[in-house]
Amino acid sequence: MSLLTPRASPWQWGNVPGPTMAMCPDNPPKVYATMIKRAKNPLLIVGSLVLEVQLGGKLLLDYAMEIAKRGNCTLIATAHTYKAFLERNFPAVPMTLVDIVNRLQDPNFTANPEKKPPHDLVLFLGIRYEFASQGLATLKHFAPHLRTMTLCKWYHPNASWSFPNVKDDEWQKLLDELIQALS
Amino acid sequence: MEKGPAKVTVKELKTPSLHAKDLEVAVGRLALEEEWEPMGPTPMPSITTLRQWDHKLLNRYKPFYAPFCDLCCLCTFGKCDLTKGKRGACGLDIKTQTARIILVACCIGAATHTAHARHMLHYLLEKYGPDYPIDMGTEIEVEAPHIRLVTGIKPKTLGDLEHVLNYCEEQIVHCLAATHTGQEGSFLDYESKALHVSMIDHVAMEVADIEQIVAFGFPKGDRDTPLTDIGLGIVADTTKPVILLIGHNVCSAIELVDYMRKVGVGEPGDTIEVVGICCTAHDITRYTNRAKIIGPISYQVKFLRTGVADVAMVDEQCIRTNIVDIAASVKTPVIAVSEKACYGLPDMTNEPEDKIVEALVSGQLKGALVLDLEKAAAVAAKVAVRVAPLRKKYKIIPSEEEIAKMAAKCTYCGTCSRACVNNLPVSDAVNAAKKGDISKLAALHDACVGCLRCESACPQGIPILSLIEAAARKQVMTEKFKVRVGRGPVLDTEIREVGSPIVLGEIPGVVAYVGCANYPGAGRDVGEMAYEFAKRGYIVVATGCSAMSIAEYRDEEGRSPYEVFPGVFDRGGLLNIGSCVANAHITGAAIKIANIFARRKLRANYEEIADYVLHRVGACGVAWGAMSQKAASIATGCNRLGIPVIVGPHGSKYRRLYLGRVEDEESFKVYDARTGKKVYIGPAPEHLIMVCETKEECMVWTAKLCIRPNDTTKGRMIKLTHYIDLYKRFYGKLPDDLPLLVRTEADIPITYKDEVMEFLQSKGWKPAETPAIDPTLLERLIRARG
Repeated sequence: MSLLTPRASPWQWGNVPGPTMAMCPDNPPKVYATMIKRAKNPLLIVGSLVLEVQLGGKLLLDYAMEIAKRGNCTLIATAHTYKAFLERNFPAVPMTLVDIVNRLQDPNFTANPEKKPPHDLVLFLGIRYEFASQGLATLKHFAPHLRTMTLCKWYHPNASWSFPNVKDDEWQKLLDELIQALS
Repeated sequence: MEKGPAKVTVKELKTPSLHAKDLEVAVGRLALEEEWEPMGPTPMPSITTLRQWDHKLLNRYKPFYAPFCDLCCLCTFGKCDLTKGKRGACGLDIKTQTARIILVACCIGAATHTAHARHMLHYLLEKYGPDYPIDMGTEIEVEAPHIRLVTGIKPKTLGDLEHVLNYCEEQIVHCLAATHTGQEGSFLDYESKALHVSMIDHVAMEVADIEQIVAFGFPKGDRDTPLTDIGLGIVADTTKPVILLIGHNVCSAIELVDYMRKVGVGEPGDTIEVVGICCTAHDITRYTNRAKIIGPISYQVKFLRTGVADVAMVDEQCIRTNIVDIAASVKTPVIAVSEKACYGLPDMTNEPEDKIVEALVSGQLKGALVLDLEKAAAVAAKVAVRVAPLRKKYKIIPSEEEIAKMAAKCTYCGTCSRACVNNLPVSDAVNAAKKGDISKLAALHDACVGCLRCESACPQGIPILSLIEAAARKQVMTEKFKVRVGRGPVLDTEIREVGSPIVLGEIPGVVAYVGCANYPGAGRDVGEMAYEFAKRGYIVVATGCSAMSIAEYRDEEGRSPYEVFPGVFDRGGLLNIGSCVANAHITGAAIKIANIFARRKLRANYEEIADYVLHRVGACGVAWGAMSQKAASIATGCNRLGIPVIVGPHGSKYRRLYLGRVEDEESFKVYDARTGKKVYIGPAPEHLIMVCETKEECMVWTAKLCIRPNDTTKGRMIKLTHYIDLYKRFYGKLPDDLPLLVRTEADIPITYKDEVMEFLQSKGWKPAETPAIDPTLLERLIRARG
């Protein structure tokens, strides 16, 4: 584990929340996969960047679907991403980020009626940095019953676990390895 | 009301024991207010008078917190760590501390507008005297809806506004005092105080705009104010001296134009160009549309570095705090005119005009503080004329050839990208420029908010913003648009015409695009949204930076939205209301609907009017680039009045939202005033302040947040048509919450009838038992108890 190395310091320099910041494992894909598999009701929240970011010719949205599928995660499509999942016939729940984060503070809430509340692990992917950071801050303080995990290429201090700050090629590798490890 | 002080002046008084000359006696304040309407229940409310109303709102729209900082650093006990449920040394937990910071922000916002109004009033009272009449024109009888509603005063003269500001200042002081260590200890009560001080903010904004409308002859709600030029590229003729105005307090700009007229240099543009950034720009074009608008707050550095401005005259608010150094880098002298923003400049107020001019022209001083506005104006004009030929429009934007040279120092460390407010790929762009590809730099121009954090962070000292602007030079040069001059208030006559269709829902809503320019993407996105809603027949109003950004959108025929839609407060209108302080006219229009159309008593009757607005006036504010504390108080003031607001993703950093939860049906129950029964109204509106991430999401929610329980079936059908239409366009299916919003079959849009009916049936939907109600949260308004 490492804290506050160049790779694991807040992506936006000023975004230092306080003494409690995300863990950044040395081998994120392996550690993440273990935790996702262990989770009883994992949730993957995706934001607008899944429609914009391409990694190695593949849309971030495709990564999201693979992770959700292999990790058995309920997928929450925020912003206007839902349509893309619908077009791909992939199950998703449309909701704003503030609506889902608001509900996740409630340990009796589940977005997936087939699974018992609470959601014990919440993954963030493709949400604008500052917006995701604020959502993670809410969960850090007011949802002690769950842990958060970020899959973007930025170190997110308000998460429980975060990927380090990486360039696109390494990010792609991390996501590919995670998908592999979830198989 | 209180009036006065009444003054008696005695030239000479001789008594056996006294001999006095030029004696002035003030006899305090007199109760002279005419009984224009019986006094309502809450004149000049204290910080707890409307607490019950706040708690009703907060019971439905519960505060949602996203702490921006886990520590409290406000007293010497600290820093206190508030993570994992810990309390600070004073006893506050993170939720309460976050609410406290919100209150501080709202106090700053309200204080800023109040101080703006106060400074302007000082100036105007000196110039015109306290008896100068408030005349808002023949089509406005309710001249000051906020002032009447909150204070109970019907202001008739500039002097009356002093009392209003006295009240505002007292409330702000009380609210700010509540944030001291060891005062308030409940997050809900902090929120109530934030709502209170933000209500005060709207009163102060109204004072400020009334002052300038009546004193400077700004448009009084004109439906067809002229178009004026806006854009970074509008100063085509750079041979003329150019004076740049930045800020919000237009008094110095007015003095400048008056001076130019007086000395015979003519109107702006004749021999000297007068251009502005931010709200002073709006307001000076309300005085003369020969002045030009460069654009919103984010254009300050971008424009200054082009070297076009020969002098920068800065007043107050939203000015870059190192403006003197930025201007000095292109040899542009700065004249500061506000006590609130002195920038460390020498106070030259009492120096002779020529001495100040000489010091600025020679470069002996980078800038001067001149608090005498008449003198400041004369100095600005003289300096501009003399300095222009010397400066030869000295600029620091490099040529295209120089870009690669400057970028060559880049080590591709990525520091700039990590400093960028909008997380733009700055580092990639500079690195590409190093190799000769400037297209990536040019692409950053639109979403760059001009904050300079990238430059400040760059260890190589690369002037990154200048490189971006150089790369985008061709685009920048053609950035010329048209904006309609700010018209001021909505007319009483307009309210009479549209009150009914708004309240019944047949005009689907009033959408207000307001606030700053900290946009998540291009500013023209605001224009795209405004265009969409005006096209759909909503009434679209705009102020401040957002009103400017709307102009930057072009439709398929290359027209700005202001060239397409009329400036009338009616279906499909697009109104530039004016500067930030003109926001009070937007909320004021909602108040006037309750008062003029629905004949609800206005005087000191806040709760009832807010209750009316919340349940009947389908209005929604959008502050897509909200940045300032003023935006926080403006939005929170809208919320107390029952108007929901959407902020862009940066708005999440305000730390607090008011969110409803549709599952909590009890919280969406109101009284039916006719029967006294509690009735479920559905999520209408669902939230009071929320964040959207993208413009598409924002458009869907804007349509949804215009839905009100009072909508007639026809009105609800119209509103649902737009909601469904936008939802289907951006989400590809019917909205899941339709069963909560369709009350009876008659609410269903005809075009979607079969599809929606089938959907509702699949969800087990049943028609509402009492679709038509008279909704209220106030028990005292129940006419018959059930």
